[in-house]
Amino acid sequence: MITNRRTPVFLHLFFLVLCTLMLLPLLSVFTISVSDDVEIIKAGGYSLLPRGEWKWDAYNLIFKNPYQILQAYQVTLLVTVIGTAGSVLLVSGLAYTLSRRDYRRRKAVSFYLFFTMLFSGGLVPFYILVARVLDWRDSYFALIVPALINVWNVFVLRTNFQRIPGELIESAKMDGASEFRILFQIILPVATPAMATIALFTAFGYWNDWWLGLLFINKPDMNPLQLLLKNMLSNIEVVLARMNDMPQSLRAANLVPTEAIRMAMCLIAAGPMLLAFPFFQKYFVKGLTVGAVKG
Amino acid sequence: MRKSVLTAVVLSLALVGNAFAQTVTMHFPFSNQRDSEKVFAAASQYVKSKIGIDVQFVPYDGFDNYNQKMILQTTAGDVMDLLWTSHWNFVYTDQIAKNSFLPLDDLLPKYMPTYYKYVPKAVWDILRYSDGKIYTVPFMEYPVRQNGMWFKKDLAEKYKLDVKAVEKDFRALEPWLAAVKKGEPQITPLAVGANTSVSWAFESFAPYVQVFANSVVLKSNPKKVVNVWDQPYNVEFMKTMNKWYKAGYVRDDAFTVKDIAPEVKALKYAAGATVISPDAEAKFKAENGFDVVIARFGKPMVARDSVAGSQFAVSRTSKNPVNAVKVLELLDSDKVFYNLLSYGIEGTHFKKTGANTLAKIADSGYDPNMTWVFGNTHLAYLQPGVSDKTVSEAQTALKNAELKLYADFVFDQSPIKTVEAAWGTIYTEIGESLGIGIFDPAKDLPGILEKQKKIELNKEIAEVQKQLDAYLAKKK
Repeated sequence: MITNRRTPVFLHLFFLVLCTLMLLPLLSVFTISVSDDVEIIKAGGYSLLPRGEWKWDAYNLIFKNPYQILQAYQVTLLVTVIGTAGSVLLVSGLAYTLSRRDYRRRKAVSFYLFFTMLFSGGLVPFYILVARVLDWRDSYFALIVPALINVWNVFVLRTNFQRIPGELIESAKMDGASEFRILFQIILPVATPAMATIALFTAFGYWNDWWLGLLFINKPDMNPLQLLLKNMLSNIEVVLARMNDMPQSLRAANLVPTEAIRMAMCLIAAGPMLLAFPFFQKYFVKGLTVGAVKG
Repeated sequence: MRKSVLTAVVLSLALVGNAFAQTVTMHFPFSNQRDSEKVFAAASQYVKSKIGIDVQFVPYDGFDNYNQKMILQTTAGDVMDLLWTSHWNFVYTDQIAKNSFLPLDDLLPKYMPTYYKYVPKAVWDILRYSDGKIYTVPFMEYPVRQNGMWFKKDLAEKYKLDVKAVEKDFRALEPWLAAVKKGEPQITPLAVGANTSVSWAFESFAPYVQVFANSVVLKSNPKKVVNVWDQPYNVEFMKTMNKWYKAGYVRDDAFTVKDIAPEVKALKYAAGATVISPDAEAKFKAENGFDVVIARFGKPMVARDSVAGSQFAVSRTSKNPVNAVKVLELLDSDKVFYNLLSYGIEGTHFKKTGANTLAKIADSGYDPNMTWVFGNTHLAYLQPGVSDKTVSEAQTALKNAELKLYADFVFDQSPIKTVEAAWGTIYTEIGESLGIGIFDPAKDLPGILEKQKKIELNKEIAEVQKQLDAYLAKKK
């Protein structure tokens, strides 16, 4: 019991240090975004806090012509909101069905889901299906539908739902509730922490996704935010690595944006998720134990 | 009633489908612009009025994006017509090996008469694939390549750099490097970073005809293929680089420097490697802001690198290759069309300041700065500051330049894929340290040669020899 008072001090210290370690890179990113490349080098290297005057040139440059970023924001927001809502709905419905022991094809469906977790058709067939058979190129469907069902989330939720006493469902049934009503008014409210966790993960997934965009989006107006960022960074890599092979006029064209612009883009793209996180936190703590040992 | 609606729908669908089959789609890497759609619409209209073909422009934002998407789309067999390709991004030889492109030998003289004649025969020959066919239409810019080095002018004068001697033998550089190192503690003599070495600039000093992967043909015996790694010249070369590294002529943390350009601008270096272009001194100054002396190594050569950097090919899945080639002909010979794509709409995005010169309008919404993507840069209106002799200089350079021996020989790696893949993993480990000079041949080379034996790299050398023999036999 004596240690009881000391433990929090240690714990707090530990987590303070951990927090600092996680925040420092962000601070550094911000610092670079308000500094001048050549100045950094002249001063002998990066510093944690901006040296001298803050320069908002990078932000000015980005926001002077913000069309692309705003458009990308719109796409990503729409995809994240619709995708998360749809995904949570489908995943919870599926998980609930699988959690019911009186569902006859439970095993078959579980196996079907599990199988897709381990084996997939491969990239090219996937591409042909979405791009050519369904013809979803440059459409929101391509960004949302392929990620709607996450089997892992289904299984996590199923385990969580199974923890809910069967009597609850039975009594609801006796009171004349339909299956949908049971799910939405009895099961989901009881499982809020789990739902919030799943929703957060799904939202993160949609927000950070550039892969689907890379495969199926080519219209400039439809680029998700992360794809915009990824394109910029990977483009810099290619340009730098193959500098001597490129046509001469390209080398002179200064295609590599300054470090400050890159870092400013990073902050602009990451910002909203950093803000969204605390809102979920309340549920998140409880949700972490989701699917753990049954209580 | 219902039936007629259905018929109408089917009919219009058929019409749309038909129109679509006639459209030529043109895929290329780009840097997205606010007014892209406006410009491309105007360009389509222009092509339609000129040759009656519908063109659909499909730009891809960024090079890596283009590469990844195109590899997937060619693999999946998407219907496409004109595809941009090069030797450094969406690599054309790989795609030819994958059978993604159509051979153009018959189409070019017939449907691309102007540009086919404009591009010298030597260039077409260089681009021929190992089966002897032409698959790609090259761009024209400055079609010869010469490597060299830049030296900060004040330091070159202060420490008495003998440029002539360096041009004869790069090792004459050493005393100057030592002097700079001693006299200027703030400055690193050589600009070397993770992606930027200087060693590639010295390739013209090597006694090689050509290097293919790890195989090399020596000038002294141009019919025999040997391993490049244990050649005395190569070992000596690696020793020199290692010596320079150990002497501190290169930053000892060079491999952490991913982008060296800002450091060069911040005057951190005294010298570096560069590719020579006409008026290289002026260009360098405009880019980096300080005066330089340039050393030119070897002779300007017509090489694959200097013409394969931007090309167009016709996709194997194209429904109408003839129209595709016709569009290319217009692009590479029609000033209006070419400049429309390069600079946008006249009056909105640029102003003409003379018969052949222009001034861009600032923040106009279209300034991709990628004239070379669209092919024949000799058609471009000149921007302020660009010499009006650029085109004629390029043409003279091409006339006087030498064709590398075996310039049109292509080594087909497909028979020894596994060897090359195994070698690839080994090379990734040492590539950077070789460029920077950390690689110590006395200590590290035996291990590499041992590994080469293990993965049977001699198979590669035998394969190159076999293909070279076949090439030589065909030449006679």
